[in-house]
Amino acid sequence: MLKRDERIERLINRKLDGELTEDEQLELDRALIRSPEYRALLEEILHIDSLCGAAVKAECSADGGDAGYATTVPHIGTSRRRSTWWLVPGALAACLGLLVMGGLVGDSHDDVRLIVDSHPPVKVVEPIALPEVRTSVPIDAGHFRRIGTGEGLTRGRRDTGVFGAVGDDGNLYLIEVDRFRAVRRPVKENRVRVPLGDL
Amino acid sequence: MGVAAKKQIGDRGLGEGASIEVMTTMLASGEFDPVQPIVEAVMSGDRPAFDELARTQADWVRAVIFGVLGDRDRVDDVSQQVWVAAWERIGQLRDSRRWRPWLYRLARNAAVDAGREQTRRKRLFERSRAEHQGESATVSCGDTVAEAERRETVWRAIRGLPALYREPFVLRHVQGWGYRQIGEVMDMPVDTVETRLVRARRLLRDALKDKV
Repeated sequence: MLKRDERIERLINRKLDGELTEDEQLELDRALIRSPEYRALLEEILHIDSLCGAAVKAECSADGGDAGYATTVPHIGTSRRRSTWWLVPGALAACLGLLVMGGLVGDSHDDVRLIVDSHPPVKVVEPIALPEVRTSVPIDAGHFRRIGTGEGLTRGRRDTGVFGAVGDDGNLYLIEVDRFRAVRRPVKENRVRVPLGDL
Repeated sequence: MGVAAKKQIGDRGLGEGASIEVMTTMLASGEFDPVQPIVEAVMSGDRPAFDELARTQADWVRAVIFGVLGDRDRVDDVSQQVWVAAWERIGQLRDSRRWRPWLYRLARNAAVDAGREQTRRKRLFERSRAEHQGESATVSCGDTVAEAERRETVWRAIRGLPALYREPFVLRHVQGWGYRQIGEVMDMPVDTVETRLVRARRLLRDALKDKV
């Protein structure tokens, strides 16, 4: 069953890389439950990948740290920034509106940090008290949900995503969202449009 | 609206009245790039911006170099050459949105050139290392001999990977990039990235089976 073995090997690799779809996850889970050989293969690949990955990461990271693709937060035009603490609620509402549209990360409790670029350097604001937003979707302040059309957002096993929102002041705010797990699921609800002026 | 956001929305042919929905779509499709404004500043000659770019992108550039060369001893030297070249040739970058593939090509070409120059010397060096097993340069204070040998075994397996498999493997682990990001930088389809990662891991398993 060479093709089946190759299929499972590929699914295991996709699992390591956080690229499994929900259906693929189910397929892999079923295969692992039924076959001790596939479970052994998973363990082997995990072990070797982890060993070799740690070696290259330690060698190639200049500071031995964890510089991610999406977590690079640049200092964008800091000379144009001004102290905007009184605009943060508006920006948060804009960010929340952002989060109720587009694809989704479900079933995870997200730890959201709002990164506001200002003088002096980046200030992290947490916890965040969410303002009310007029939408047709109930918002649980401790549990973000985003509703969008179509397939929704596919996110891999990455722990962090970076989003941007344009505040009423015209400045660009970056939100860094730490997730514990990401899945892709089709969403049927209509997109919620929240124009900036309504917030 | 900030300049960066204006430009990125403007590039899509949308007006200034674009709402959060557009921004969300851009984010969902991966179009929003927080580094792009820095690149644009570098393109206009902003040296501090260049320093910021070099600082924040150093790791994956090193990963590309190592992925091609397979020789960690040369990564630092080649990396410096890459950043010097990046500053000198920033004028060649026409589209700031394509900065990653551009920087990747700089790094890759520098690594390939370094590999060609050092080919004969590297062969001699590796032959010498093989002959002097146990006097590995990877032994550090506190290491047992077994740990040092294990580490060297792992490195030998990684170095033994063909570059076309090693490159995506290194980028995957150093940067944690997904298939799409790796494919964008290396300018290859997502399926190809996935296949090369599968083969890299298969080769590593074959090389390290029962050894670690």
